[in-house]
Amino acid sequence: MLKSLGILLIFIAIAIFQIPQLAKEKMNKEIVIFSIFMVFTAVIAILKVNDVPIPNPLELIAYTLDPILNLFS
Amino acid sequence: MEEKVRISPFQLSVLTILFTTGTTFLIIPSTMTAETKQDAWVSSILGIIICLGLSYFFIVCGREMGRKNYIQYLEDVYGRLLGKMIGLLYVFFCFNGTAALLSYFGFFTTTQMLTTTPIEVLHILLAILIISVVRAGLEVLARTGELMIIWVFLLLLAMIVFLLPDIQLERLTPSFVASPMNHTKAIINFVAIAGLPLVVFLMIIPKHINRPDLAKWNFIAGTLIGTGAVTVIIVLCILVLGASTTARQLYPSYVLAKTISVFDIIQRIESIMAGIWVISIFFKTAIYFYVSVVGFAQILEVKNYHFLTIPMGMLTVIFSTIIYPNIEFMSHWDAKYWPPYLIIMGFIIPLFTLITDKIKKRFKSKKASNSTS
Amino acid sequence: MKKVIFFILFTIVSIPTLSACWDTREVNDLAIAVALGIDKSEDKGYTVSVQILNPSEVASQTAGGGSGYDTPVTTYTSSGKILFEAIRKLTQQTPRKLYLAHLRIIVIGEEVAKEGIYNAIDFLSRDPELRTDFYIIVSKDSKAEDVLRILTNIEKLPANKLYESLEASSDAWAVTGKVNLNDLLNDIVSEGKQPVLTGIKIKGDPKIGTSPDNVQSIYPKAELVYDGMAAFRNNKLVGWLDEEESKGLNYVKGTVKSTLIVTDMNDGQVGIELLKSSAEIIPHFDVGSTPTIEVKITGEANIGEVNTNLDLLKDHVFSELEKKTNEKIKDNITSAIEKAQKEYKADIFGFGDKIHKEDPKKWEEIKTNWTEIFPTIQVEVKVDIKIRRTGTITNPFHNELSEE
Repeated sequence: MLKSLGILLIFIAIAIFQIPQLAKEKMNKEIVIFSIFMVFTAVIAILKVNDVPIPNPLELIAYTLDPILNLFS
Repeated sequence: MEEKVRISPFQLSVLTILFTTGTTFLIIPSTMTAETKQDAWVSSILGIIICLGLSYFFIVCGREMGRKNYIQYLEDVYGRLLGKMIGLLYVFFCFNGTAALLSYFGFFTTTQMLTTTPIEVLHILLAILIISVVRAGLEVLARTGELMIIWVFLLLLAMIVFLLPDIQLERLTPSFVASPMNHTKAIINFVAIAGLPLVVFLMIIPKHINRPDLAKWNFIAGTLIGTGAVTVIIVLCILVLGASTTARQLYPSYVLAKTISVFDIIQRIESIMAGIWVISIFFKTAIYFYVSVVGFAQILEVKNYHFLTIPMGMLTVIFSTIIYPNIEFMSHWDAKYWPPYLIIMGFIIPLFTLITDKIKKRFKSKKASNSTS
Repeated sequence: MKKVIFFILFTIVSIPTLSACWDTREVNDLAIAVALGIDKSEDKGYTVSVQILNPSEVASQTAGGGSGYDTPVTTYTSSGKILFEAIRKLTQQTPRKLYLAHLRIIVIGEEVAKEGIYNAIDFLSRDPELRTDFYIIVSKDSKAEDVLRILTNIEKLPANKLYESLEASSDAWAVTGKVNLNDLLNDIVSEGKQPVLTGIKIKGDPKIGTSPDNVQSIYPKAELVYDGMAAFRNNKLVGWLDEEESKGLNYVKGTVKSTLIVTDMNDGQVGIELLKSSAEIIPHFDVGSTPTIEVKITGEANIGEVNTNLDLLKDHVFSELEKKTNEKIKDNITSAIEKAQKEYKADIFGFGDKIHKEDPKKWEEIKTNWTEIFPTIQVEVKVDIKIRRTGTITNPFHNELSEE
């Protein structure tokens, strides 16, 4: 719990640092993208520190490549 | 997104050298000697030739792309939606690449030097560096490269000189006994690790080069020097450690540095020598990360990529601990899936795109000439 | 505001990363091991003895004065089922955690060597703290533990004594072999070459050797002496080579830097100092299916000592001396080869390796039963040593003097 809170704090700090920069240049679309991205990353990070298994992207590649490799072997 | 970022052709060579040598220095001697034993140098020289062909192929692609980067080009050729989807594949590839390299760095440091340091800390440290350099831009990265490459080559030279007394030429015999099958496997490994990842440079050439006409030879020269340095390391490993010992090591070139002992004075310098690998891994990771961020920004069509670096970097750090859960998975995945994956990403897709583009252009010009007549 | 946040963030990140790292180990927290001994324990495991440096004693130049004599090293012993367990268990006895990066020498007990050294080697090459620049030797007729308990003169550290005298005896007398971990591993995995390790013996009473008395008297009551070499087949010790045979082995391996050959001449002796030598192993395949091996030794020598009436400047004397030297070397080599072929059936010379290098196809055919083929192969030894100079004088001065 403490870990999750710490991560949340770090993410908020980064948002406070980044969002005003974007707002100054009136990049509204970018702010939305940034926020979605940050929330997504924060969720993954919190899942990770709480030892929730996260799918491995390499497994995904392996899964898609397997049928192709089977053709050759 | 339309930033005027320009690096010089020389800086391009520097980045190419650092990119090809990256993790290759550390891991390739053992994968090569595992296949072709003391003949590994033969297969790596053949590998260099293929790598040079590949870099020429990328230059050809670059020429077709004109002033666009690779993802813009994909959108051009395949249309907006399909182009973006293929572009996303490349972003995914570079993202995985960054995470995997962080992981490589972590595994290497925790195995050989800082054995009790939590691996996440090492990932975070390297990631902070990479995020800050990518935020600063490609020009900064290229200029840092110019400074650091001197150190890489000085240390490399020092290593070669210090190891001269330990060289036993007879370790190369019997020569030319490896079967063509083993040679093929070794060459595929070599090209997949050193040559094919150069596809990410399509995001940099020719768009971000100030003299695109010179970029061609600089890029090819960079590839030659980088792969050549790797070959030198492979030969050195065989000459000093012997093929079977090299094949059994996880990081043979580090063991190489460990064996340095000149007159009992210059010895135990492997931590300094580790600079070679740390510097080149840093640049390889930074280029991967730069391409993934810029590519993603391109796909989202945002004004600049800088604000994406922090969230993307954090995501990379998280995935760097997931991507290779252990060494066994790492060696299995790298041996089985990495070469075909890279052949698809680094050769088949660019080639297919190039052909499609040529056909489309010819078709268009025919149409144009038809309508005028 | 922005700057403040950035500053705080930067500080937060810096504090854990820059202040200290997880792996700092200060010198005064380390127990620096300089020698490691591996023995069998009673319950099928290993007993490990470690010689640990006593830094204050090594640093002080005036040992023995004032406060009395402390031993420069301390040897701890512990046992476990596997090597690593035994080493970790040592922390129960040692005052600090063991640091293995400065190992100079590893002594393998004879019993362990006879049972096989695979297990020991695995740990030694896997642990990242260990380097590969230490030498490996085998204790003869005693336990490795006892070897590491002998105090030595002049070189205060017994481990250093072992290291230095191995180098000296290998360079100047050529009856020992310097084998480090990489060499040993290469020999073990090679199918056409068997490893050899130098043997170490305790001369004198090992009990007295452990106390400072041993180094405080003018002649040591117990000493560590290198004695012959141990031949291995695969990973098991199969037998010992004596001094002459070890020399013969070193000639064939081409590791002889310098040595002395004593030849009989006119009821006296002449000492020939070999200055350099090189060996060539040439396999011949023509006759039948089993190859024959030709060993060619060439080298240069000086006359080092003359114990008899001899006119060195007469032209046939040199050629006669050369002939006798050649015969002596040939004797050494043949006795070593005979022992390896007949008694130990272990290809310690690397003939198989040479065949592999010369004719890989032929080697593929014979490599599976090389152990059976090796004892039957014909080995032809050719020695050609050239004597060049006579030292600083020509004829011995006692030529003109009468015996009385």
